[in-house]
Amino acid sequence: MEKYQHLLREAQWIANTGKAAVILGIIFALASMVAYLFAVSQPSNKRMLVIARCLYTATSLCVLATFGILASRVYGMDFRFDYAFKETGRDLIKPDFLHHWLRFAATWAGQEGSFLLWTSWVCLLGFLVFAKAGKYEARVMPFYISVIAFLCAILIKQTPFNLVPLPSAADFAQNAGWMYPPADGSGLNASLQNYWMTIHPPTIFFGFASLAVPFAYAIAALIWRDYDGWTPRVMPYALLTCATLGIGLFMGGYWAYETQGWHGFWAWDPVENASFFPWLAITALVHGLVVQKSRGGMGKTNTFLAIFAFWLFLLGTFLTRSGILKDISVHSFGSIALASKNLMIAMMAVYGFLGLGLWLWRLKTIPGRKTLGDTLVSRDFAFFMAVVLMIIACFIVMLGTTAPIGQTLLHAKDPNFKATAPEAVFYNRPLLPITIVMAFFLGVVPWLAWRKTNTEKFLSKLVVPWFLMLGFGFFMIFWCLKAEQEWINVANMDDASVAATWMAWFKNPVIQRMSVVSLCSLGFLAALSNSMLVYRVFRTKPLAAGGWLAHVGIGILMIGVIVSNTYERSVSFTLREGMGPEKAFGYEFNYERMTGKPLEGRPLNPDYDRENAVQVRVTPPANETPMGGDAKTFLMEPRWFATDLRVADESEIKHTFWPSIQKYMGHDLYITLADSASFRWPTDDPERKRPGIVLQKGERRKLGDYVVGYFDSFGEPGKMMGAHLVILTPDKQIVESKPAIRMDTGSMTAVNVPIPEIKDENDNSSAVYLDGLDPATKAAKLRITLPGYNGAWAVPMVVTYKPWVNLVWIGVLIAVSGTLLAMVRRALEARKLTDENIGPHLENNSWEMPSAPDAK
Amino acid sequence: MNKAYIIGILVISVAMGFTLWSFKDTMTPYTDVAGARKSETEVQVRGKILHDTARYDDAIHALRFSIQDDKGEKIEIIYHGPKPEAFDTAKETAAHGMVRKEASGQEVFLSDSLIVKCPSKYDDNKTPYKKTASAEGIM
Repeated sequence: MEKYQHLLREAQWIANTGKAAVILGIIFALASMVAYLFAVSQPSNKRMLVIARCLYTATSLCVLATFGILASRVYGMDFRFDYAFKETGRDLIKPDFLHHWLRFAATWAGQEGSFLLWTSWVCLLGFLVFAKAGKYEARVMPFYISVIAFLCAILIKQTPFNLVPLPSAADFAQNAGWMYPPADGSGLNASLQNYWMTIHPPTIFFGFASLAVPFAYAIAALIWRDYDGWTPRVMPYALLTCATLGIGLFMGGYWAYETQGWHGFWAWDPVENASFFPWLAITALVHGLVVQKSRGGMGKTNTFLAIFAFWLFLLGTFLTRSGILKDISVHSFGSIALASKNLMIAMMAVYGFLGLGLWLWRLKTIPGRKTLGDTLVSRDFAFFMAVVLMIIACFIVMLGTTAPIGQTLLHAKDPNFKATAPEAVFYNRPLLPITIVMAFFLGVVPWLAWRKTNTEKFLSKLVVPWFLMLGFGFFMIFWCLKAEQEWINVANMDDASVAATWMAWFKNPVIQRMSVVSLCSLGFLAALSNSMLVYRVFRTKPLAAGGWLAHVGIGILMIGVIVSNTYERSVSFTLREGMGPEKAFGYEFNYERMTGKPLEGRPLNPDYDRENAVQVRVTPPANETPMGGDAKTFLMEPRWFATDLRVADESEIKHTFWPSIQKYMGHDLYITLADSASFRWPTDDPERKRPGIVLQKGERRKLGDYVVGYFDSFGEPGKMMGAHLVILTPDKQIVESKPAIRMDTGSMTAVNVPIPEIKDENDNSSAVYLDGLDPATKAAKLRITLPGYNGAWAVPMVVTYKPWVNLVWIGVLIAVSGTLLAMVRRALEARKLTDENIGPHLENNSWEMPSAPDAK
Repeated sequence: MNKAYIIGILVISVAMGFTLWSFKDTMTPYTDVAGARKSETEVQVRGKILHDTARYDDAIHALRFSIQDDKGEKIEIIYHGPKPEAFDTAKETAAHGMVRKEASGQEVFLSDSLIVKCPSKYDDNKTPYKKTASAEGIM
C-alpha cells in the first residue's frame, strides 16, 4: 500500500502540474489580451506590444506544456491517468515506427485530447499571425487570443488529467489480480489503429484552428471600420484554411473508404458535415476576397463570411461533442461534462451574438459596390454566383445537420418522440442542381473578364471547349447505358420479392442519367477550360495559376463523385473453401487461406489475431491489368480479426472487418466481408480427425446455425463424467444432449452420442462426442457435427466495382495543390505590404472610432 | 436594383423552396413494428437486437436478425450489405426500410440502412477495477 501511495502522489503531482499549466495559460492569455488592448490605445508605446507578445508566448508555452505532459502520459502508457487508461493500451507497444506514432497519436483519441490539439494549433499559428500582422497586430490579436482563453476554460472544466482512483487495501485483498497502476489500458479503438490516425486529426484540427484568423481580422475590420485593409492580409490564411480543411476532408474520406467497408467516402455524417460547412463558408470567403481585392466591394459579405465560418465550426464542434446527436452519428463521441457543454454554448453565443451584432451595427457603414460587373457576362457576376451558391450549399448542409435538434425542440412535449437525421438523399437532391450550376460557372469563368466581357470574343474562346464537352457528353450517355445494363445483369437475386424491392429502390433511371450526363459534361468543361487557362498562365506567371488549377481539380472531382457513386455495383456471395471460384464482374474469386494465427482454445470457432487477413486469389478478365502489377492472378486480403480479446465472456468478442482494394486505372475492385468467416466441419470426415472445441462451464457458442451451450457437468467420481449440453436449433427448438465418458478400472471410454432431433438433408442425425473433461475447471472438450456445420471456411463477401473513383482522389489533390499555390502567391503579395499602404486612417490607431466610414 | 441581385435572390429562393420540399420528403419517421407493418412507405423502426437470431443468410446474401420494439413486438429484419462494424456489441438499432412478404408468406422488414450504436465502445464506465462477478447460468 505504501508503494501505491507513493505512485499515486507522484501522479497527483504530474496531474497538478498539467492543470496548473492550463490555468496559467488562461491567465497569461487574458493578460496578453489586456496588454494588446493597451497597445491599441497607445500606438506609440512599443513596449506594450513587446509585453503582449511575451505574454502570448507564455500562454503558448503553457498550452504546449500541457500537451506535452498529456502526450508523455499517453505515450508512456501511464495508466494512473484516466485519459491514458481509456485511450490507449499495451497492444500498441510494437517496435515499428507506425506504432510509436500511434502511441503518440492516442493523445488526441479522446475529447479532451482533441480540444488540446485544437488549442495547441491555435497557439502555434498565433506566432505566424502576430509576426505577419504588421500594424494590425494589436487589433487582431485580442480576438484571436480570446479563442485560446475559451479553449483553456473548457480544458479546465474538462481536464484530461483525472486520475484512476487508488482502490482501498481491503479491495486489493478481496480481488486477486488487481494492481496499481492498472496493468493495461482499455486500448485504442481498433478503427483508429490506422496510419491515418497519425495525420488526419492534426491536419483537420490545423484547418479548424486557422479559422480563427479570418474571424479575428474580420472583427477588427468591423470595429475599426477598415473594411478593405484586412483583405490582402487575411487571404493567405483563408486559402490555408481552405487547403488544410480540404486535405483533411480528403484524408477522412479516404480513411473511411479504406477501412469502413461500405465502399464510400462520404456519408453526410454530422462529424463530416461539421468540417464541410466551415469549408464551404471559407471557400465562399476566398472568392469574396478575390472580388474585394480586385474590384472592391463585397465588404459586407466578406466580414460576415469570416465570422460565420468560424462560428459554423463552433456549431459543428458543439453538435459532435455535446452528445446531442449521439443517436445519429456513427462517430459517437461520448457526451462531455455539463460544465464544458455550457462553456461551448457560451462560446457559440458570445461569438455568434457579438459577431452578428457588430456586423449588423456596422452594416450601414460598410461601403457597398456600385455594380456587380457591368453586364452579367462578367467575371464579377460569376464570382458573385460562386459565393451565393456556396452559401446556399452551406445552409443546406447546416439545416440537415441540425435537423434533429429542431425536431426535438418542436416535439418537446412528446416524451416518445425520437429525432431522425435526414437521409443522404436530402443533401444530394438540392445539392445536385446547385453543383450543376456551379460546374457551369466553373466552366465559363476562365473566358470571362472582370467588369465586362466582349460577348463575341467570349463565345469564340468557348466554342472549342464547348464542342469537346458535347463530345464527352455523348460518350457519357453511352457509358451510362452500358453501366446500367451491367447493373441489371448482376442484380439477379434469388428471392423474387427481395429483388423487386431492390429494383424499385434503384431510382428513376431517366432523371439519373440526365443528372449524371449533365454534371459530368459540365465538370469536364470546367476541368478543360481551366486547364487551358492554367497552361496559358503558368508560362508567364506560374503562381497566378493556383486558383484555376484548383478549379481543374474541382471539375475532375465532380465527375468522380457522381460516377463512382451512381454506377458502383455490388455483388454478395459466400466464398467456400474448396468449392471452386465465385464470379463477379468477370473476375474469379478463390479462397486461398487465413494469414493469421488462430487463437488457442477455439479451434471450432476460431478467432484470429490482429494480423489476420482472408487471402482471396483473384483472376481478372484477360484484358485487364491492375495498377502496379501484371500478374495473371493477384491476391486480395480483406481483414477479419478479433478486436479485443481481453473480454470476460467469449460472446463479447467483437470482430473488425477491413476491406481490400485493388486499384485499376478506371475502377477499384473493393471487397469486404459481410460477416465473420465461419469454419464448418465436413460431415463425412472420419470422426477422429475432427479437432474438438473446448467449452467452459456455462459457456455457449454459435456453431453454424446452432448454438451449443454447456450447461453443467455431471457424474459419479471414479465411474463416469459427462457434460450436459443444450443445443438451440435455428427454428428455436431446444435439444438436450448428455455425452459422457465412462471410467472402468483405469481406462476411459467415450461414445458418440447421437442427437436424433437434429438431422441433415440426408437424414443423418447429428452427434456429439465428449473428448475430455477437465476435473478441476470442468472445461469440456467436445466434437460435434451439426447440419451445415461442415469443415471448410465459408467467407461471406461483398464485392463492389467502383468506377472512376480515382478521379475523386486526383481531383481533390489537384484542387488542394492549386489552393496552396494560390496561398503562396497571396502570401508573397502580403509580404510586400508595408504599413504605408494599409490605408491612411489606420494611423489613427486608437479606440476613438472614425466618425464616418472612410471613403475609398 | 441590379440584374445580378435579382438573379441571386431568384436562385436563393428556388434553392430554399427545393430544399424545404426535399427536407419534408426525406425525413423518415420512427414507428413501432405494428406501424411498420401497416405502413405503405419506408419507415424507420427502432428496437432491441435479438442477437441470438442474427445470422448471415448465404442464400440471399443478407444479414437476418430480429428486433423487438418497446411494446414487445418482434419482426425479422433482412439487411443486404456488410454487417455494420458495431453490430456485434450493439443493443439497439434503427433500421430504415419497409415491410415485405417473403416467398414463404412471412412478413419481413427489408432494410437498406441500419443505424447501429455501440453501447460499450465510448461509454464512460471504463474502469480498471471490475469486481469479479460470478458467471452462472446459460441460455
